[in-house]
Amino acid sequence: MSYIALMFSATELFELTYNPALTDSEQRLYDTITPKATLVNRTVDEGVLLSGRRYSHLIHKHFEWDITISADELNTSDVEFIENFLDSPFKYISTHNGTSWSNYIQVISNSGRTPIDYIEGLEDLPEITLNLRKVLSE
Amino acid sequence: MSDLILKNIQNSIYLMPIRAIQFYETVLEDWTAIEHLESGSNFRITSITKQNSKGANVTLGYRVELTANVAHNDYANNGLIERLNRINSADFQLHFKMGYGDDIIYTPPKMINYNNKQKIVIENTKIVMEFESVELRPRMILKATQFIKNLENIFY
Repeated sequence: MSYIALMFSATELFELTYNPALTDSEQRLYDTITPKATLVNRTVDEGVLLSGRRYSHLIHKHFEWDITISADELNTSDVEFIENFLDSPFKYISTHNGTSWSNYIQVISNSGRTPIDYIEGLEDLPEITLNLRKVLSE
Repeated sequence: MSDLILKNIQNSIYLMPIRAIQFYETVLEDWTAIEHLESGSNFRITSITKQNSKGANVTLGYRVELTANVAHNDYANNGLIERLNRINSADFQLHFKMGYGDDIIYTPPKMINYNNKQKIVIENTKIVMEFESVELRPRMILKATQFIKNLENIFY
């Protein structure tokens, strides 16, 4: 099993080692239904020189995670936790590769409405899809 | 945890034909019971699943579908339609009875081919009434569906 941990804090963390002792109100683990793969988002400066030569310079790249937590793992308290996670100024994730946890990675989320859908329109089947982006570039 | 081994057949597989559908209006504390359900009455519980990233189907919940074929068909005089309309606008429990026994306010008619009892109880549902003609008579078909998150509180 591989898991992803969502953790939030009111202050910035200086010790980024995964902490399994945090309470349910600070950190929760999810076996998301979507792949927990790290995606790379590249920003490039591209254009055409006066000579006609095209160029594309890599400016920076960021890691991203698209995760979907479905109704099998979401109860009312999980939805509240994710709302608090999204509200928090300092959001972190840690991924489990089957044997160990990664260090915490500070991420940001998208603005807008809480990304919650209800499968088949049933209020008992919430599903939350998060796009989390690493704060620091690679 | 202890082991669970379902090995023996004798005295483990019971006959529990569908017998009755009952409604309990929680505010009025009134029961409405319909016995002698006809063949074709059935229940079905299916799972709502979603595939995860490993290809396994994760169960999100269950859909309960109940169908009761009601023979009592003097609709102009037996008050059933009016009663079901009233039930539909209130909070009620639906009890789907299998086998014999476990009745509260009356003695059910005798039945055969049973050796145990069980019931399905659902709440927060609505009844759908349909009518059809079979051979020499009309009959009512009552249907109810309900989503449940787990199976822990449905079989009694």
